[in-house]
Amino acid sequence: MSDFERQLRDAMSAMVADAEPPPAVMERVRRRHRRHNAWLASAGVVVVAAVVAVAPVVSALRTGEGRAGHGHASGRLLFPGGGRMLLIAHGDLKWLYPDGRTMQIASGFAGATPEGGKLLAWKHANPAGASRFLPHGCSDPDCTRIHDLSYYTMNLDGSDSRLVLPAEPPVGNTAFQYENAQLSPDGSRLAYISQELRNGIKNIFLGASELWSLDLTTGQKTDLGPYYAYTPYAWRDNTTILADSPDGPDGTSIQLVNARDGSRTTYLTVHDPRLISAYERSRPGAGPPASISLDAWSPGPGNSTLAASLDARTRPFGTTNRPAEILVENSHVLAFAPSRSKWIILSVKLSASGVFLLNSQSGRCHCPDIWNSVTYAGTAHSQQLSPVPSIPSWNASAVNPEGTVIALYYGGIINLVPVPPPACDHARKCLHFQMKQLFGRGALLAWER
Amino acid sequence: MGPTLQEALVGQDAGDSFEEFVRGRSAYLFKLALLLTGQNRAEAEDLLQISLERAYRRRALLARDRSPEPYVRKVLVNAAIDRRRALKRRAEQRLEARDHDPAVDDRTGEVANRDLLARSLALLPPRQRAVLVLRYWGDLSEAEIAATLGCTAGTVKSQASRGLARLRELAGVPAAGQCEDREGTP
Repeated sequence: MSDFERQLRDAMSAMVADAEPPPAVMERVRRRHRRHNAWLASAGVVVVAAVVAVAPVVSALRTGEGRAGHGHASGRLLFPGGGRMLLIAHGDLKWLYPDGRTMQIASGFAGATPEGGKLLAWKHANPAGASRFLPHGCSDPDCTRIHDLSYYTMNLDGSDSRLVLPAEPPVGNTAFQYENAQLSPDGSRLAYISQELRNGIKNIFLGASELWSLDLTTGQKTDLGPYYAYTPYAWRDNTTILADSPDGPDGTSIQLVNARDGSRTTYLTVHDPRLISAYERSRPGAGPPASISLDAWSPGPGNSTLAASLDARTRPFGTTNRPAEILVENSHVLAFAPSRSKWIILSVKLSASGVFLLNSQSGRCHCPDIWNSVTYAGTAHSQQLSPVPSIPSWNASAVNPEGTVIALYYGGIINLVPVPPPACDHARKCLHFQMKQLFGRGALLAWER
Repeated sequence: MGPTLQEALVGQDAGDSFEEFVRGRSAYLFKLALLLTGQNRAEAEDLLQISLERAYRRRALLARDRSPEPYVRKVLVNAAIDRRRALKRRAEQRLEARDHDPAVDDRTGEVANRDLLARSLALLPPRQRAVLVLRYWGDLSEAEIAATLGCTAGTVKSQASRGLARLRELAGVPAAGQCEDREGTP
């Protein structure tokens, strides 16, 4: 370094030696962040209003006739693929039909999922004492909403609504969050994870988390043992649950848990020769898989399908090293590793049609904001992944019951794209259309018959 | 399937660690912003807010990294460059001593030189200034600066070289070669 460079360095250091940042920086950041979100919400409303106002005019110009009226069937379909979409907008659950009709189901809910001819819906209950569990540094009401969900079952039209698992008020400094609840296929039982929260002086601490089963006929609850709060599980049938081993996502087996008594048997292990072979084919040179974790289960249109992640070893921060997604259908095991990038996160979504979506987020550096995100469609039969032409990221996805159309929800827009071949061949009818977008209809929850 | 606690807690954990980061590094980031803006405090405060707010929106993603600092620094530097570009290009100012400036009132030559350099720095094009600030004040490697600015290490070198040359010119300091020649002359 020359004298001049040293002078420059000293000059810069002297310039800012006594500089202090403005007070309460973090509070100002949070305030602006909330304002930004509020602005986006308002802007969204304005855009939606504009689209709603302009759409009939555009439609009239295009077709030469006015729309029959909101909620009435018109000649043109609002979306392809048939069935009906379960949506939520401003707490209202509703069905949206291809001809544009909607059917209100219930209000005041935060989400819902159809299962076994019923709906399982949940809402924020805000029980007494919940405000004591404000996360550290949190000053707005939304921060109370991490541990106050009550669960309801209802018919698909919203009738016969029944509170089956109410949020419980905290006792002293302890509260229990009920999360990730799922109805059994026949709707007779509810499984859920109970997460203990302890309110410390400065922060909330996680206590034990356990998997529970609730008999909806008798009201009897059964403790199914410790379970990591954020690991998936799935009902395999009306009495057994597929779940990771209690070791969590780094475990070596997927287990069958008896929902009546909590007894466990091994269902699939990482040492299964079929899994080792499939993994090594998809990840040459990675060695045998060291861990397995359940991602999804579907009874499927014919054969049931299980999706799980295999990895040679795991890394901290949820980023895995050499992951592969496996699909197990009967005795067939398929493994997919769509990217060789250094950093990869794979996630899978199964559908009842047999078409699955595999999302791969990957990059060459530990810089998630610039990772590449690609969604693929496939079936266990096609044994081939096809990139889905779509927006790069999405919050929710669904495939129509026939397996011909994919819906990806992001930023208030439902994007509809055809299932690409060869995955759509499974449905014996591939659709061809340009991507369609549904604005302001609500957030996508499911696509049912 | 209901919402998972992970989603809430990732946000909560990310928020907590982000607060820690802001507590620990806001002074450094504010100083960086001050240097990038040519000691314009109001503009530096704005830049700090913008960069932290953008990072706050991505805190859950950034929590996967060991530190959000590279991201915040990148946003800060690029926002400073973009903002300068957006402003009407200012005519170069003559670097005369400002009577009201305490640094000049202090009659020591060292302080006066520093002041002159500081004001010269403020007149450099924003990208050149950013390179010099990151290199000599931030003590970043050429590779790190290149990653921050989204350019190659070669560009960083050339920008630094041009920036130093322009700075010498503005501050009236002879080029290094000229000094050596004169000092080497018997």
